[in-house]
Amino acid sequence: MINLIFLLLVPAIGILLLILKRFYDKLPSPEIIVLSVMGVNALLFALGLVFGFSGFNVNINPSISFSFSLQENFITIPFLLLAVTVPVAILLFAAKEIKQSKSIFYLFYLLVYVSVVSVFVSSNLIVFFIFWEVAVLSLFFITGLWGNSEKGKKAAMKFLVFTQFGSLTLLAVFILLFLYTGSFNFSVVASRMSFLPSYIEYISFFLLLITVMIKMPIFPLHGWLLDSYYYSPSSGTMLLSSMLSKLGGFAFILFGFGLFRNLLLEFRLPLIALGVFTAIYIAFTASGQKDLKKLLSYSSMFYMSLIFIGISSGINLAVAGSVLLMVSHGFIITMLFGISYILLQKTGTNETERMGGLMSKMPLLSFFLIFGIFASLGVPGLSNFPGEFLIFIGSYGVAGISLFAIFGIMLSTNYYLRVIKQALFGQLKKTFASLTDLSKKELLFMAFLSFFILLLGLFPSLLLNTLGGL
Amino acid sequence: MLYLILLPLLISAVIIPLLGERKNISWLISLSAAVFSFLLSIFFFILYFNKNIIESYTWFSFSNFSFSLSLIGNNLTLFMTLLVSFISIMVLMFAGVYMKKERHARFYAEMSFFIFSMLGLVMSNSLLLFFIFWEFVGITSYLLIGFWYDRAGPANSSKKALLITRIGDLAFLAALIVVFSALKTFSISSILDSIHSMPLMALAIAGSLFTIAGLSKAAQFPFYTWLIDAMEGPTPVSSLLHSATMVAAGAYLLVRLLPLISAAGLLNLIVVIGFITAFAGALLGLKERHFKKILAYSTIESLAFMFLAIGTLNAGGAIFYLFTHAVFKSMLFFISGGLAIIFGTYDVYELNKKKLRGNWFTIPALIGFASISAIPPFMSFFAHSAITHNFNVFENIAFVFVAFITALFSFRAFFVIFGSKTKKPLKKEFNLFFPIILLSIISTVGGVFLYFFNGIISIVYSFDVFSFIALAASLLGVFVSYEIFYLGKTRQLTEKMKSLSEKIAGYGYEKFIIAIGNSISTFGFYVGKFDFMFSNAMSRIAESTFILSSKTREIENGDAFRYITAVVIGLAAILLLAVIFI
Amino acid sequence: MEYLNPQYILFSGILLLILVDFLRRSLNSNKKVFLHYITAVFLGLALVFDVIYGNMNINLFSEVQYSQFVTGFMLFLSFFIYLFIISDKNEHSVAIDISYLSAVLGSTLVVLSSNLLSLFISIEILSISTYALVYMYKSGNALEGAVKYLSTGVISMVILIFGISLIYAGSGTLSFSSLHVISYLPFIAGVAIVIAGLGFKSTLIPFHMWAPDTYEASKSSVTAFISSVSKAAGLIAMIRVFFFALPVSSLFVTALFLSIALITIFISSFLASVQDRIKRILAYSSISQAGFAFISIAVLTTKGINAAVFYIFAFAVADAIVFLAYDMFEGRKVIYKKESSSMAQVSRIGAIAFFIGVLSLAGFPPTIGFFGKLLIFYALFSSGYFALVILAFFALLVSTFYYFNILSEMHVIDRITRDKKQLPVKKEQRVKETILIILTLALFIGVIFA
Repeated sequence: MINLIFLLLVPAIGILLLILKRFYDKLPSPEIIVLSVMGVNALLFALGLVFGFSGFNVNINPSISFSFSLQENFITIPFLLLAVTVPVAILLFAAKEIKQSKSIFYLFYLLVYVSVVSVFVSSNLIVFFIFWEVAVLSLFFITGLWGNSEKGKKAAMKFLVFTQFGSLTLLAVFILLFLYTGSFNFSVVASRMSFLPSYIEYISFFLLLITVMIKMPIFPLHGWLLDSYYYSPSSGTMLLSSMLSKLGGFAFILFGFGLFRNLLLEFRLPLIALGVFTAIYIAFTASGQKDLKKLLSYSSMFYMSLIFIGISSGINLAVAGSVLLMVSHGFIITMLFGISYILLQKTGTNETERMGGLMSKMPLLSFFLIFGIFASLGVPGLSNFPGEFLIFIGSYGVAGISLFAIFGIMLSTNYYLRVIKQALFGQLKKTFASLTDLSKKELLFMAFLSFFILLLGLFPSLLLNTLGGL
Repeated sequence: MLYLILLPLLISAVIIPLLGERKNISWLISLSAAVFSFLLSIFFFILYFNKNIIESYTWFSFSNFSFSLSLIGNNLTLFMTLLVSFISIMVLMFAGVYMKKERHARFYAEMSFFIFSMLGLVMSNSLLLFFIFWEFVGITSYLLIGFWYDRAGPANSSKKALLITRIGDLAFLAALIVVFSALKTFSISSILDSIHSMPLMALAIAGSLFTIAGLSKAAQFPFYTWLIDAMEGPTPVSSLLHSATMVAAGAYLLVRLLPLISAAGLLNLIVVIGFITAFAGALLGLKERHFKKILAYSTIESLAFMFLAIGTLNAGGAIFYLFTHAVFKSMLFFISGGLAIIFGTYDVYELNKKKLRGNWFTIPALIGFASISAIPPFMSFFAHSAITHNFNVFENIAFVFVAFITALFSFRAFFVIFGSKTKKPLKKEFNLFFPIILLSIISTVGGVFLYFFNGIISIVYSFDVFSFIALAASLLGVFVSYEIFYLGKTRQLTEKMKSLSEKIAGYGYEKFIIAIGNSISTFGFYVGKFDFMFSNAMSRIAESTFILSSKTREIENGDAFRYITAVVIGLAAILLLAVIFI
Repeated sequence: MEYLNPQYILFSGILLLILVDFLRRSLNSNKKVFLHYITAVFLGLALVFDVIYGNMNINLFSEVQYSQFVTGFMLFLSFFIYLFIISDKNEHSVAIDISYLSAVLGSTLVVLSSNLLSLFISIEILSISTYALVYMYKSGNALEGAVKYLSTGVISMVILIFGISLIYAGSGTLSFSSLHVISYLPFIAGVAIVIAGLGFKSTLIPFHMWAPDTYEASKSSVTAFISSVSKAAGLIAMIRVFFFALPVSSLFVTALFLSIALITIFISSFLASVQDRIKRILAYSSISQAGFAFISIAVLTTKGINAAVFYIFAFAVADAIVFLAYDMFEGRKVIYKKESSSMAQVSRIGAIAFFIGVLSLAGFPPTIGFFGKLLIFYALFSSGYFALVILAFFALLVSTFYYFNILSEMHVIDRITRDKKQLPVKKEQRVKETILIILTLALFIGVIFA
């Protein structure tokens, strides 16, 4: 049995080492520290998959039911898989991108890492919230300090204020739960949900929805998305899109589906309609983008709205599909943002119109871009397909309207193909004559992610079998 | 065991890129894989003859829903694998000539994968698996059409092809979901068994979505435009796409799901669309100068014939015509490609100047064009008789017109290309010569197949009065086109025909499609702008509050007296509140 | 044993200092430092005795359930703030020591008061000594700050005594234990006026106006004391009067309190967000913290009071850290937000402590600021004020905005690594940094008191 606390302790040691590095220069470089930390953690996770995980519990303040307790829950494993693997890939990438204040950057990086992992395994709501906030804060600083020098700070502030509101509503939900169940412990809360008066249940559910809609994000509350995705450093964008937005989905499943299932079922029609609207709206928005990074940001939101549809349907099939899609989308979007950054570095522009014919100079990059785009579009055999498929099957059963989201996929096909056509196909521009293909490190980054995309696409049962508790 | 048929090509698709760019290796690997598949198909065809073997594998399952992939081995599917692998061998042989100077690895890997997907598609019994291969076919065809990505044409047309077929893919996906929700199974055989337990609404939705899927893949009326542009791809790709695979998949889907389509009451619609497509294809083909595009229009038309058969509940006829068409169309493409290798052009009028009549291409080409026009003794005449078997009077009359116009436009191409006599014979390359000759022989004598085809797939045919009227119309068409295009008489009529077809082409359908695409982008641009403003609205509101509060700062200007005043005012306000509560 | 209470210790410390100061004139002037050490020792002793024996318990002053904790943290903070103050060697006179001790004494007495009269006297002790403290560090406009403080303070004291007299008129007693017999009319008038008087000390809007000026005018370490210990005393006094003494559960009291609390939170948040000078931002933020504490008092339930007490502790520690850290930067002329990029150059540890302090003020976990807010929201929810919580969220968002404006504009993180060059570090700075580290640790450990 692997105790879950080790998954937190190892990064904590890494953080300590990073701090100590300021005083002892002999320690290895921050990248190596972080990489080894995450390597050890991935190993622990793999061992845990084999031998099982055991919980951890330390009481800190019983009067507010604050205990540092970690426990697997019914959707932990797929998310943990995402949380221990994707950051490794992002690291390979960040090592290239981040040049200044490295040790502090990696400090925040590890903070995001450890907090996302902890959110996925924490079974005490306060612990959940603490790490939830730490992740937000760390990303605030990553965006603000390493992002775009002019607008990074403003974008980070927008991100913080928006998500902070979501966090506060989540906190309110937790307090309400505590008020009526007398505990912050997830399993206790779950067993005492009947103690909640119905109006409290409604209030909590809507507060939770606000949280989720900000975090994922879903239509009216997505204002922060573009700025913070766009002006973050690319590694920050990857963290935002592959990890932070998944926190929203995770919370929605854990609380919305796990605790407030009756209300979810009651409101599923309007929620699915909202999700469908968001999907189509955002697919249109993405169609209008000329800038690759903006386009990817919006497309990321498109998939989150599919996930929203899946979870809102409240059918376990669709929820399982949402989990699959979240995990898979984490891999795919990381890869696509990585490619967009490499393209920016090599061609000096983010606008696909100004690229052209890159395929002849960069066959490998083109291969991975096309691969990523097809994976995104839900080509069977790649990881998005099982998730999307299950979401549609599940949600169609309860609301036929969800099929309209397929129209959004059509629109995505349109803009993605435009990207391929403008950036890769066509005649090579003369200015790009001296371009080089992917370096070894970048190739590793891509291969690593592609491996998971392919693995999860071919064998979705690997993840589905862990979701038996849904 | 049926998956064995798929394995060689899958393996070759994986191995070829790993081996990298080596001379002829990729070609050999993929060709031998196709041969293996062909042999295996023969083996299974014999083994499973008149049997119905279903092999099912569970892909994944969740809470008593099982997502199974199953293959079926029966006469129909195994006949299709035979056909697909046979044509693929021919195409790959041809590609050995045509693609000599290109980079091999990518091309043959994609070709192998494409053939693999098509073989899988025809054998699928599970709609899910069918969809998976359907998507594979679409994606690979996109990559193949865009093989010459650095040219503007393929870059555009590959995008267009995938976009339009993707409509069908997603319609398929939606239909799949609808069917699964209703029946909780993917197996085509059990779906067809329990059609009547499906709610009528779901049936109608699923049926129309499947029809859309089939139409878009088979390049029928509203969707045909991608196929013409797809000619930008390498000719082996075109010939493969057009004969037994990609477009045929659209018809094949509807053949497999025929009971569902007919239960959904869509047959008449399909017939109407078939006629519209046939007319439009033939008329548009009349003005075309590009050899391959002429063939593409004829493909559209031939597919329309299959849809006519499907629309009249004549699955056997459709399949037989599919077979016939695959044979002669791939041959014609080989001819066009062979000519292009030698003369470097696809333009029929350019080819006319090269003085081609009399070389060894002439006879096969004549056989091919005669097959398009369904002139006996070629196989397609018999196929036509099978197609038209279930036609009613109106359909028959319409078909006569179609036959006329088909013959007219196809022989136009023939007479233009082979208009002038040659002096010297052309060199014969085995890989080019063999497929063409073999296929032309099949096209010629294949008519006899019709008589024992019934043993394979039930088929009915009749040589009624209309089939001879249609034949007469065809011959008339040949004659007219001989008069016009060969002898050059009645130039006025030519001009008229031309202007007519240009009018049809100019009705702006193409432009309409492009306009839709553009307007999506433009609309998206404005939605994006709106979203930008919307996202910023909140921060604007916040900013304005800050401006407001920066005004209030002036109240606190450091004047102690004012502070005391504020205290007093505050106290007064509180007292006022107190008074209210008293 | 009963005389080993912090209050006695502090009082004897004051007496001793006066005596020594009297004798000192004949001593060598180098012994000045010695006096500081005496003061520090007495503060420390007071803290120790508070932990061991609790507070004094005589007729006008009596111990209540939380008083040991409250005096404990007050003494704790006062002790470290004092150490911080004396680590600067210049211009110290014994008057400062004496007024500091009496200010601490006053604030601990406020906690213990069980009679309106003793409460008033304790507040006066506190106020007068803080006027002196503000003035005695002769910075640029200390006089102006002190005068403003004094003039508004005097008015408030007058108002307070007037309110007390009204209550006396209504109930015939000043003792907290028997105030509940008060009749309605004088109760309402008394409450209305007393809150105006006490609002001055705890900087509730509209009685806050002295605060930003005074905070800015006085030395930051003194500000740390005023904004943490002294303000805590004011808020605790409110709890004593309105929760333990006067009859509760009146619609009027609730409405009045909630509206004052909301106004305080919102206006101060907005005002803070438009300031340019760091210290004024901190001043307004400190006002808004008081508003949050008060909103919890305003629900007038045991849960609310518990939350308020914990929250007072939380923000007092954080405020002390922030102002103490800022004291180090102020010495290097870091005044405006834009000038502040050199913060970490002055002291890296100071910058980090400042950072964590601000996080706690903003209510981010895992600092006690978060747990304080958690308890407050819990109290509000249990009394059914859902809308109030949502409103408070918006105020919190605004406060998040300005706090992080400081943080991101100050380049706290950036500078930590980018600027290797540090200004020369003096020994006294090490002392200050140590103090900050200890206080910062309190921000994390403090959760056990929740």
